[in-house]
Amino acid sequence: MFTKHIYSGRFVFRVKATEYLINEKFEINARYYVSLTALRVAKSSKFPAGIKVKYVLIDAEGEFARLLVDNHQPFGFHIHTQLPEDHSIREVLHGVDYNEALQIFLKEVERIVGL
Amino acid sequence: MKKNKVLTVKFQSWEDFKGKVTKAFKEQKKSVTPSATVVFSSVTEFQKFMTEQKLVILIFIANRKPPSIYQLAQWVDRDLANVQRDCVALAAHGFIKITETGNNKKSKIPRLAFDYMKIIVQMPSVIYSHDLHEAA
Repeated sequence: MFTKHIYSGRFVFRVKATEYLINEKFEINARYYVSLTALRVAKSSKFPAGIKVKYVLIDAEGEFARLLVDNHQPFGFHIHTQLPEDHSIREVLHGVDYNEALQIFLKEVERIVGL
Repeated sequence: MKKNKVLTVKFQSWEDFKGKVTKAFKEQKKSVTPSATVVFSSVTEFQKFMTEQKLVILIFIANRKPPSIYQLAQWVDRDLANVQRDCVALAAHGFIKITETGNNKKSKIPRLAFDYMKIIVQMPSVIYSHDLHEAA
């Protein structure tokens, strides 16, 4: 983790900067693309491991997320399967790590897109 | 003075992409799509996406900087809804950005994602390019 200095006009703030571990975008076809991000963030109650993950499948035609996996507390790794209709419906992925969550996401993408 | 920045379109199969990101996670290595690069799954998918009409839109945005999508639709002489749909797709795939202005954010200004004037398409065996400069 590195620190960044932000000058606000009167004060200089030292903040813990985030760092991308993964930041990949992949255009599957004219309609869908996937965006995978894993950020190193300050450890907090929301991200106790200090890693913030977001794997998302975007429907470019309607410009909405079709599938989303993220890892914030109190759920840990979870998948939103009813997007875009209902963001509040999430399926918790018990006992998985970053890579297992990624594999679940990629498999679900293949099912939705028909790869 | 015309700009010489380039946007590169590269290709990688879905299987190769999966392999790359999985390896990056397992080995905890950094893996980032290079800036000014769009990665498509195949040449066929890119060609299906980048129609002649979308290229014309990019040329107009690059050279004339339309104040709105409405104005752009008039310049390219196409239906507003279709131009809007193409702009949304171009923005989603990283070729342009759309900024909203006005009190109700009703006016949408299309701009290139950055100030590139050439798209280089790096096919697995051949490289070709789309020059966005208007013909003299």
